[in-house]
Amino acid sequence: MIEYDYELIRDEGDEIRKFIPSNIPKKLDNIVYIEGPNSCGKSTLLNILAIGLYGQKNETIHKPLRIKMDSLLDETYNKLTFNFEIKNDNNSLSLHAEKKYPDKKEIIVYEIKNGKKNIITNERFLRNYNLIYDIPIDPTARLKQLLVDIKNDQIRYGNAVGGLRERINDIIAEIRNAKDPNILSEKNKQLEGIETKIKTKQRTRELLKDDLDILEKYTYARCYVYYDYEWRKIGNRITEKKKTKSKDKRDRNKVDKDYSELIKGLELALYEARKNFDKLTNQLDKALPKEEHNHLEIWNRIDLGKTFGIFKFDENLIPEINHFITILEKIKLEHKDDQRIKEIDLYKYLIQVLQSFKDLTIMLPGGKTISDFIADLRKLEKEKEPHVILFENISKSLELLHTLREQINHIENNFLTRIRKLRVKSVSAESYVIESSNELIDRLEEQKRDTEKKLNFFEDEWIKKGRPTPDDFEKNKDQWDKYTGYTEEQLLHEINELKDEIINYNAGVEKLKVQQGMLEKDIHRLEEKEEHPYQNYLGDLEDNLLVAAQTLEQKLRRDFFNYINELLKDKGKLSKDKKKEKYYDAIFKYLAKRISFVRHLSEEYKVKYIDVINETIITEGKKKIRFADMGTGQSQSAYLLGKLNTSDDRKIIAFFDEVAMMDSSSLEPIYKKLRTLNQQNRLLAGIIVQRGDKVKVISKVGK
Amino acid sequence: MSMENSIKDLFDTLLDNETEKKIMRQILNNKKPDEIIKSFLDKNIEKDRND
Repeated sequence: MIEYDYELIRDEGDEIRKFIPSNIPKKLDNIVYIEGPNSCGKSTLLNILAIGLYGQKNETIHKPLRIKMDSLLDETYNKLTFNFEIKNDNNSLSLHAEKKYPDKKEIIVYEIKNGKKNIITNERFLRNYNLIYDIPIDPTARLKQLLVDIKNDQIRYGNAVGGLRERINDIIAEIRNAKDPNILSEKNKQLEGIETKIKTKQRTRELLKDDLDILEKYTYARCYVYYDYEWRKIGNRITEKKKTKSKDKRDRNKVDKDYSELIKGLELALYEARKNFDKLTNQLDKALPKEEHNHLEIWNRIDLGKTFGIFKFDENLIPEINHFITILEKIKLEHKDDQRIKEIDLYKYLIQVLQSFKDLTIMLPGGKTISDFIADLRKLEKEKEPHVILFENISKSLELLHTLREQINHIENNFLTRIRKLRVKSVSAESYVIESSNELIDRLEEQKRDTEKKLNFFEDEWIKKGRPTPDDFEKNKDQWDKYTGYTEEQLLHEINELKDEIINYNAGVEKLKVQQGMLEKDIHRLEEKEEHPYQNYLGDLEDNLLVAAQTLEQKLRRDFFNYINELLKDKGKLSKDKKKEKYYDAIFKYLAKRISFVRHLSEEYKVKYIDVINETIITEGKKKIRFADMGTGQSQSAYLLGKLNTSDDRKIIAFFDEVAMMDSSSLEPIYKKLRTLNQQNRLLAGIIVQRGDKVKVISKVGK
Repeated sequence: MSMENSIKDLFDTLLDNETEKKIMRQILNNKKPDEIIKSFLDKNIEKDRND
């Protein structure tokens, strides 16, 4: 049922006219045919109903009709008020529209569904209702206008797919932000790994600290004892030399000048040789095998200081130097191809290379990090190190032995031989008084000061380490025994390396603790979240559904939109694009389904294809009917049927005006279609208006 | 053939990808985004159960 009322007051310049429904009843059936003369109010009624159903904003409505609606609402000369209600057969659904104020454009539209009244906005109206309002003028040309409906449908579907795409993205974000048991378990595993690494590193660091403690105690105690002895020895020598010097002062005039110079030269040369001799004495002990113990005893009995009194070297000095050179050269030759030395070279080289990559978080075969691997190599290097140290000490000892032999030969040839000759030939034994030069005493004083510095250093360190005694070392001999062959420099180098290594371990532990803290926070954050029901389907959503929705949206909003626009602008035929051709072919078949049947020269044909490019209809019997050859009434009928054959389930409200060229046989398919839609509960109202001499209102419901 | 089927046929012809076709059918049936996503995932969940 359609119930309506309106009042229109129009300023026509020379007079003000008032229009109210007077010829057409204010209550109409839902499907109705109205015939009447001009100005009986037929078109005004349709325009008012369309205005109340957002017709002005509906782009599917032919523009001249929208202009008419606009002019009705132009309050400069039209003062319009209206209200109407359109109700379905069982009264379960009705639409109300009301324009209360003649000077305002405000219209309020309500929907009453199952007794529930709600204001209905334009957007919601468009989603739920399909207002078809048309005057089928030039219907063959306007068959193409059916494409506008398809275009609008495509836009609606494109928007719907866009909404789907946005929702998929939201769900993906929700899943990413939700509690993921797999990620949680992975992070817990990582945390366990880090905790194990921290413990391992801490354990290794403690072992290194123990090693360092033993090494420091051993080194400082050994060096302290050595420098204490050296310092005292040099002190004694200085005292002795000073005594000789004071005696010398008393007898200075008795000493031959040349002889005196030779003595001074000898004393300084011997001083230098003695430094090397002492160094060798300290070193040979570490370089020689135990079988050489007897020779070392002979060596230790040699006193180079005595040479200054008797003007000849100990007879064992040169033979022992030569003996040691032979022995050490032999050992060196044996070590030349020592596998352990080559291994150490390899480890050092690998460590140096790997140091540049130690921050990389890659795992090496065997599940180790680069830092772990470097630590393993260092351990291997340390195991083999005593052999390298021994080899180094042999080389250094050989070098010193050669230097000492040269010094001895030089002293013998340049000083001792000449002094002995002078003593025999020109000076009586009593008058030979040995003079010590100031220079030698200065050198000894300097040596004493240097030794004292070292003594003080090692004494301080030894005290800091708790003054370890030889008894302390006896307890854990296996831990320091390997260092007995090390020189002072090698020991200090080893201490520094161990300290560096401990610092590195500390840094490593700190770094791991930072990672541990971050992971713990992450795990805590993840544990507090809820699991998402689609957690396991993130891949499906991302790789399949989202991709499909994006592609589909692009097709609807871009590709198909462009294709149909080209058709509407008559540019479709210019295309050779296969995708576009496929689209047009499908659209022409679809249009045929919408029109379904056409009447042509009193016959009815089932339509198979409507080619809007070539303006041809192809029937099922393969008859070709050109648009231009169709009767106006017949093409009007085809066009209106096309408008009514919609594909969505929105409720249809159809108003057709000026169907003047259609005879009853052309109109009958339209009534039939309207009744079918009504039975399917898809029609809310259908009004068909035609010009006639008298007002006739005929209900078409149920006929 | 109803117009609903005609429009389904139109998009079945125009679309090649099966998932796109399935989405389009659901859109034409006025399904809401959550319903479409659920029906898509329910099939996979069912498949997982059977596997």
